[in-house]
Amino acid sequence: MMCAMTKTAAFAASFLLLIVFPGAAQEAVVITLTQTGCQFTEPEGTDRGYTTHRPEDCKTINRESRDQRLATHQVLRLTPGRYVFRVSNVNVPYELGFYLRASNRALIPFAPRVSGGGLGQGETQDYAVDLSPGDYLYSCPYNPTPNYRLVVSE
Amino acid sequence: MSRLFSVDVFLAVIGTLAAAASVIINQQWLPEKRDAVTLLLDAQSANRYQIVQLEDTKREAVRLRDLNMLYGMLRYQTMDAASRSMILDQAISAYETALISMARHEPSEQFDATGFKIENLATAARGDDMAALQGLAGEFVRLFQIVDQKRQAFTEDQRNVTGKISELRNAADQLSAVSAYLQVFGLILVMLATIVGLKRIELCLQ
Repeated sequence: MMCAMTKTAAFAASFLLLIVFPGAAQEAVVITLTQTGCQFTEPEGTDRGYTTHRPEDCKTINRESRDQRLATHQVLRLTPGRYVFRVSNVNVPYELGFYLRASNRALIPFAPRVSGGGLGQGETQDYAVDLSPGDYLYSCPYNPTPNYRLVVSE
Repeated sequence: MSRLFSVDVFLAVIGTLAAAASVIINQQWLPEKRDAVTLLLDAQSANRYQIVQLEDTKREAVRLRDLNMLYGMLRYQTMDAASRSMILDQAISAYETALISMARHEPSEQFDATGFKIENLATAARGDDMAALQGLAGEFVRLFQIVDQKRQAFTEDQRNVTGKISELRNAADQLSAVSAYLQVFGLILVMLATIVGLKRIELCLQ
């Protein structure tokens, strides 16, 4: 009797969970991003072959080319849900990371966000986040890369 | 030649020149001063807005830090781990909000790196990392100093702008007074020239 009640309660709880959090049943979608010198290759559509030995090299490169690269970069468009950003450091000879946050600076502490470092050369790390509708930016401040746009909408 | 430069003509010329100078002052120099005052008033208004924003940021940051401390104290009053974890999360969120709010006043190109650093420290601090908590406290002090320095710079600028506005207003008042004197002076001279001229005509006719 108790067992049946427990099972019913568990079913009801999971049903309620599905109604309140429809994303709970969904698998996280994996988004693969690749970092090379001073850039993510996916949004820019190509590896520009920048050679960098330290972050300052990228700061100089980005200062000169950022506006043009961002004007033509591909905006990542997603629907709300759970995502895993699988980020790889292909050939940058220093530690990289990943930083995803709201594009409006005032909203950063209140919007979904994810960050992390420790991405050595040749390594890949996952960064999981539940994205709700809104405008976001993603970048690697350690590389550093430009801020690429990510739009989440229904 | 001496007839041409008689007293009445001389008075009329001087009177006309005074009137012309008054017009130039009224139409050219005074509007220039007033335009400059308007521009400075706009700058003053923008400065005042920035100062209020910065003051708000500072006040809010201190409030959120206090909230963080309060949460920190509450945390040790609870017994179960889940509540402690939830309170710690709220405490870090309050700190994070304060830090990001202050970081917005950093130079634009540094904001991303600072935001990233805060985010990483906050993530580590949520895992009860004391070094990360200290790192957040260090960031708080650094960013608070930046905001305060910026506010001081705007306040200093505001003082200079207010001084300049005062100088320009004094100069405009002086020009306005000079213009009024010149108008009256010119009018008197022209009236005198008319009287003297009429008298000369009378004498000539006699």
